[in-house]
Amino acid sequence: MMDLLVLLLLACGGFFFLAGTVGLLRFPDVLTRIHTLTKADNLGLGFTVLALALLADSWIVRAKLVLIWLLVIGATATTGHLIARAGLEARDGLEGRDETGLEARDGARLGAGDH
Amino acid sequence: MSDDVVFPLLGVFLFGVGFAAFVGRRHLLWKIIAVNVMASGVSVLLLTLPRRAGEGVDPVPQAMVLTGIVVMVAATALALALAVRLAGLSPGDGRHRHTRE
Amino acid sequence: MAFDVALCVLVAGLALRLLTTRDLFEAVILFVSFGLALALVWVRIGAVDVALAEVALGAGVTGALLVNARRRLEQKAPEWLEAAHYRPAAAVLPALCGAFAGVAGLVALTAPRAVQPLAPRILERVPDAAATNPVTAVLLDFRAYDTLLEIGVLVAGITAVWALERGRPAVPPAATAEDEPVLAELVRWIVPLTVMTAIYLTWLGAYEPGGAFQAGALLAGAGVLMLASGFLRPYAPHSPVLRTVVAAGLFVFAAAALATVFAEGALLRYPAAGGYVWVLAIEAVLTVSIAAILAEFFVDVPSAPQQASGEQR
Repeated sequence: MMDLLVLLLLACGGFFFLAGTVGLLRFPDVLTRIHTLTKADNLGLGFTVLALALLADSWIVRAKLVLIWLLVIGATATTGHLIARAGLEARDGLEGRDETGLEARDGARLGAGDH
Repeated sequence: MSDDVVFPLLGVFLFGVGFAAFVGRRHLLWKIIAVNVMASGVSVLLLTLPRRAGEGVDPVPQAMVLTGIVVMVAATALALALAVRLAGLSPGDGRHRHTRE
Repeated sequence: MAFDVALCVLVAGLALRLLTTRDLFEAVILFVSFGLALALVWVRIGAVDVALAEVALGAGVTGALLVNARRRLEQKAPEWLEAAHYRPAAAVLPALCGAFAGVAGLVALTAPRAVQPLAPRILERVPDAAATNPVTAVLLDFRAYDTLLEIGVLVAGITAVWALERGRPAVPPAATAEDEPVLAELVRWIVPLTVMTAIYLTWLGAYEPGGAFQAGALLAGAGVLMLASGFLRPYAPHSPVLRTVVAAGLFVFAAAALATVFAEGALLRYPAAGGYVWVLAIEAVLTVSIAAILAEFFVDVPSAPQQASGEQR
């Protein structure tokens, strides 16, 4: 029973990692790619950590697993923000050129004036 | 193909491609990266060759590989500093010999 | 077994791609991925100490150094970043190297395997050693002079880099807390956690995988993060504080070696009673020194003055 649950959770985690990677490869521009990576990978890691926590034999190991999950969430959120900012600034510097793919989208929605 | 063979083969492969890139590529940064890949190949061989399937890893080669990783980082840092310095110093001629492949 | 083969194919594929790509940025990112995948190989064969070092030093520190070197080339010599094309004649070399690797592989696989493995003899002596983690016992007790010379290599490396960088202008941080509030917030809570983890790893090294080099690399990572986000101003290379911290590890280790020569009659043979305390004290000083040296490698290949400039692929 427990094994089945762990297997299910790991499969869910794997699915979200796969979805995030497919999104990274298939989505058209910087912002949508960041979106898939940060969202899907956090969920994928969440499911994986949950599965491993069920397998773990002590509470200290579970606490470490949760700590890893929190650290990764904080780090991906921050790097996602930094990459988005860098993409935005690259767009500002390359007015009219289609280097980042950001031009294809609505400028107002990107919040070009917020920094 | 048993477990004993897969990892040593990986080590040989890494050393081989690293060596090829080290000799074949002209860009200094790729040469530095290639030496790192070669070192990884040597580490894989060092740790997996004396190991028999089902046994743990010998602690002596483990300590040697640990030392090797640290020394590689120091060597890489120095090599990168030299490469960056060279890029700042060399005028067009020397630069182009090193950048174009 | 199937997993091992898939893992090896992944590592080999990453290596092939990062060495043949024309884009330096791609090569650097793939090199970090290569280090992480290689760490999985170490875990699979049970070399957890090496896996930790590979992630922290091989992938982490080397990756950061490469990213920084690339940024600096971008400023100083943009021609170096132009797409580097292959010359058709260069194809002969990989073929030759392939043949060489094939012969080497054949020799490696057919050579007699470890006639007299060292592992049993080491493991039998570990209970008497100053640490119960066999790898730490080898590193800091049985073959401690290797580690003494190793920290010597690091000090020599940073000295050479300092000599190369003499007269360089002061480098502004890549970003500051004011213009990157999100990064600043992350740094505020991740740095204390990293310091705690580094202390834990140093202490853990005596019993389980971990130790001064992995902990030092972690601490250096925290330092690099603080330098890049403007929390920490880099010290000038001639600063006495910096030089003391950099030299402390080698100095304390060498002093311990001398002390053991006089007290016990042999280089780095610890007193039977307090060996554990000696190892822990040496490791603690080593951790701080290694962190300072690794972070200093990063400072000396400084980042670009304009923050968050878009990495154009």
